[in-house]
Amino acid sequence: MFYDDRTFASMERMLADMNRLFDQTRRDPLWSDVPPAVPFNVWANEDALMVTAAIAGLDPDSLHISVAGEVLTIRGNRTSESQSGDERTVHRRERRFGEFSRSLQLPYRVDADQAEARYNGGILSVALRRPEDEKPRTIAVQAA
Amino acid sequence: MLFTRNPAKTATEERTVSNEGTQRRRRAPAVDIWEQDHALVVTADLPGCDEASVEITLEKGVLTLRGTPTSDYPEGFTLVYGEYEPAEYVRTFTLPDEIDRSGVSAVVRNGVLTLTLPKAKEVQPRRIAVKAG
Repeated sequence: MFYDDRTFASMERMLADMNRLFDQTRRDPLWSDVPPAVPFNVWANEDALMVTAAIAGLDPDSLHISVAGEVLTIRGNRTSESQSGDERTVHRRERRFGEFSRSLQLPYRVDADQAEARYNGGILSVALRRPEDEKPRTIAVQAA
Repeated sequence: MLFTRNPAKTATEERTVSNEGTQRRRRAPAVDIWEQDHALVVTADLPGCDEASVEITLEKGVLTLRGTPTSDYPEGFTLVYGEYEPAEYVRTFTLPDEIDRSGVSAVVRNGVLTLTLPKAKEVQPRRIAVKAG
């Protein structure tokens, strides 16, 4: 079977349409008590891991980040910035608020004492160092 | 998201990509819109955007929000697991005529855009005093 670029383009389009459909379902008022989605990206280099999460409008004080062995847990609470009574008529309500908690399995054990978290412009980034004894070691091959 | 592209594939693809050269997927940000006596207030989630990377245009009654996150690639790292892609946030609204265009104000804080669109004077509610007959 032969596939050209267009076959994949139409598949991508179909996938995008389906994603849109599901996104719309999620915006249904019945789902409004669903906690906010906190998508993660995990980045790595030789010495460290960087976990980033896209979540706008958080109070950094509401964040609780913990590391236990190879598991990183991020908890937080996103509260609406509008004052109650401020909203005369609501035209659209798509943003989600409330408590969230997510845990992530890391590829190796990290040093919890050296973890650093930063919240800037709606992006949370947690830097985690790789301990020396978790680093890969090169094994020299000796001639017999 | 229920359907994601192969994260491993994305990792290799994105390896050498910088902020400038990224193919960004256009996404509609989630918004709340409410109305006060004197203004319409629009709030939008634009994680990774600050006041420099958000652009708001108002043309012929059409309001367009556009945000391009600047901070979504940590320097010197490779993506190993991905749930969100570099996005360009775009959303367009048609405004009612009765907005005082000169008074529109916008603030970005922690990736949340708050846009205040004051109503024109002639459509603001007025209290009518009732006199004793």
